[in-house]
Order: sequence, then structure tokens, then C-alpha cells
Amino acid sequence: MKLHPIHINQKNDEELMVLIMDHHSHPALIELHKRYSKKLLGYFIKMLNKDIDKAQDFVQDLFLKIMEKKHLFDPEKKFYTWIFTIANNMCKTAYRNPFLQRISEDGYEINSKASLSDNLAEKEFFNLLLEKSLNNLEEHHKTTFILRFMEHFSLQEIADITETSLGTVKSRLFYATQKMAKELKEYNPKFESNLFKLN
Amino acid sequence: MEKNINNDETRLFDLIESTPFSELSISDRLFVESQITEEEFTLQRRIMSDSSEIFPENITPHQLQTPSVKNVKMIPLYQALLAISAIFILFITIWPNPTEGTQNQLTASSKVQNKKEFIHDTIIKYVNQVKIIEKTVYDTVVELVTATKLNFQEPKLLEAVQTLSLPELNKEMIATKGVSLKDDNSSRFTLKLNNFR
Repeated sequence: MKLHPIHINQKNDEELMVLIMDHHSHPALIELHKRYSKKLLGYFIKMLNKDIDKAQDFVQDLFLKIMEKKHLFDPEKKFYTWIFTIANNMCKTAYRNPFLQRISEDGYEINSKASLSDNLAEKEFFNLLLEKSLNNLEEHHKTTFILRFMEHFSLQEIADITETSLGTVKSRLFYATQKMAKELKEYNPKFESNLFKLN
Repeated sequence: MEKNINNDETRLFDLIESTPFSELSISDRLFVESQITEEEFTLQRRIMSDSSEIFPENITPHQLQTPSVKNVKMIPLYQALLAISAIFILFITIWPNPTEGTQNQLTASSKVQNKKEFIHDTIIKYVNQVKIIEKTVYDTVVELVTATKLNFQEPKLLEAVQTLSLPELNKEMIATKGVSLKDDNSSRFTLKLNNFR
């Protein structure tokens, strides 16, 4: 079944999914890829510790999964919540892989040392430490934090994506921020300047 | 199991997320300062705001590579009908006739029956030929004995050659040459039976 491109562009995500479900519409899938691939790539890059190649593969796999599991989509619910739920589950599976965890930890150590020796500017240095503390978070804390402060999802949407309650999402955000702040506290420029004064 | 945050923690988190420390109301500021320091508040707020800058955003995703979709070509109706009829004819040609099949089957079954009868006859023949069969009926055995008698040859005497020469009987040889009892002197010693009567 051939569909006119104008019709595809005008349809919302859920209507496109219905087309995929009912007619195996390839153009509809391409349109969804066009809309969400960049956002998903960014999410995967953050979740997979900047492993861009792997993130690209994950995006491909995700859209193949959409075609395979299209019957699981509920048209009454939002598409982007559903697609991020799949993405979140893919990351969970990846985190269970010890090989991936080892690579990310090693890669992180190299970057951290290299950057420290280069005397980066304060902002870059802070961002580097922020990245480190983010990577040190537990998987569920990291997911919630990224979805909230990097992908800018609402609390309810995060609850839908992670398949948890609103209270759990708030709790995870609170504790994730606390843990990161604890790690970053010693590198706070204000504290650092105080240390210099004391010395 | 992760514990849920209490109301104070919820309020604190909402304030950190929404308002800079300098813009907090007096009551909110007092509340915040009862929980954490200004530096901690500012640091947590910065973590939330700066985290979106730590990852590159200018990476372009690869083009979607889906498995090749087969192009379904439409064919005219007459071609479809021709194809169906060709398949039907091929089916009729190749497939064996069901009637012939039944006849063959009947023939085969009758052959089996003949074979059974033949075996039965053979058993009867064996009995007549005095083949030893354990399950032979007694009457049949009697009949077999008769048959056996008929088949046996009569035993013959030995054909001996007559070697004795016998004299021929004549009047002289048959003629009485002795004396009668009343004339014989020795007859006085015999019992007189007339005396016992």
C-alpha cells in the first residue's frame, strides 16, 4: 500500500503507528525515525557512557523492534512514552551485560585522567565531574535523572516510561541529585577557594 | 526496595528544581536553610541545569536500515485464472484416479482371500497324502488307513520249486492187505463192549 508523503507528515505519532500496525507501512516507520531518532540517539549516548557507535546501533535496533512488536502498541497511549519505555528496557539489558560495564568504566577513567591533566576551564571541569558522577549512579537513578533533566520529560511521563509510580520517580530524582551533589561537593569552586584560603 | 521521600524532602526537591536561591521567599529560604546549606542548594540546582550540556547534541543518527520490503506486483486477473487452471490440470494429471485405486484395492483383497483358500486346500492335500499333521481329524486317519491298504501290495509266498517226487496212487497200493479183526488172534485182548450194555 503506497501512501502519499503529505499524508504521512500530517499524521501524529499514534496514527503512524496504526498505519504500521494495520498496513506494515514502511513510510510511516521512516517518518517516526525522522521524528525521534535524534532524541533517542542522544538518550542512548547518555545512557551508554558516550559510546556513540553502540548508541547508533541501539537506535537501529529500536526501530526494528517497533516493526516486530508493533502489535504491543496501545493506540490509546502516547507513542513517545512507549518508544522510550523500549529504549529504557534496552539500556537495562545493556547494563546487565558485564562486558559493557567494564568497557565504560575503563573508558571513563582514561577520559577523566586526561582531562584533569589538561587543566580545563572551570565549567568544562565541572561538566566532566558531573558526567563522572552521573555514570557512577545506579542504573535506575541514572535513567530517571537523564529522562528528567536531559530529555525533559514530565514526572508522570517518566513514571510511564520506567513503569513505576510518581512517588518512586520523585524519590529517585531526589536521591540521584543528592548522590551527585555529594560527589561534586569537594570540587565546588566555592569550597575549593575556601580550601586555598585556609592553606 | 527504595524508600519514598517525605513531604519536606519533596518540598525541598521542588524548590531546588524550580527556583534559584536568591529568588526564594523568606519562608522558603528559612525552610531550605533548615534542611541544607545555600551552597548545597546551589550545587544541586546547577547539577540539574548543567547536566543537559555534558553530552554532545550535534550527532546525526544513521539512516534507518530496515530489512528489504518485498514489492508486491499486481498481475492481471486472466493470468491468475490461467495459473489456477494450469495447476488444476496438473493436479488432475498427476493425481491417481480414485476409482482405479478402489478397484486395485479390491483386487488385492480378493487375491489375499484366494491365497487363504489355497492354503486350506493344501492342508487337505497333505492329509490325503498321509503327511503327518498333528491336527489331523480321526476320521481322516481312518480314511488314510484305507488308502494305505489300497496302496500296499499283497505279500506273496516264496515261489519254491517242487523238489519231492510223489508216487502215483493205484489199486495195488490202495488194496487192503491185512486180516480182519475177527480173524486176528490178538483181538482176544480187546475189551468186549457188549458186556457193559
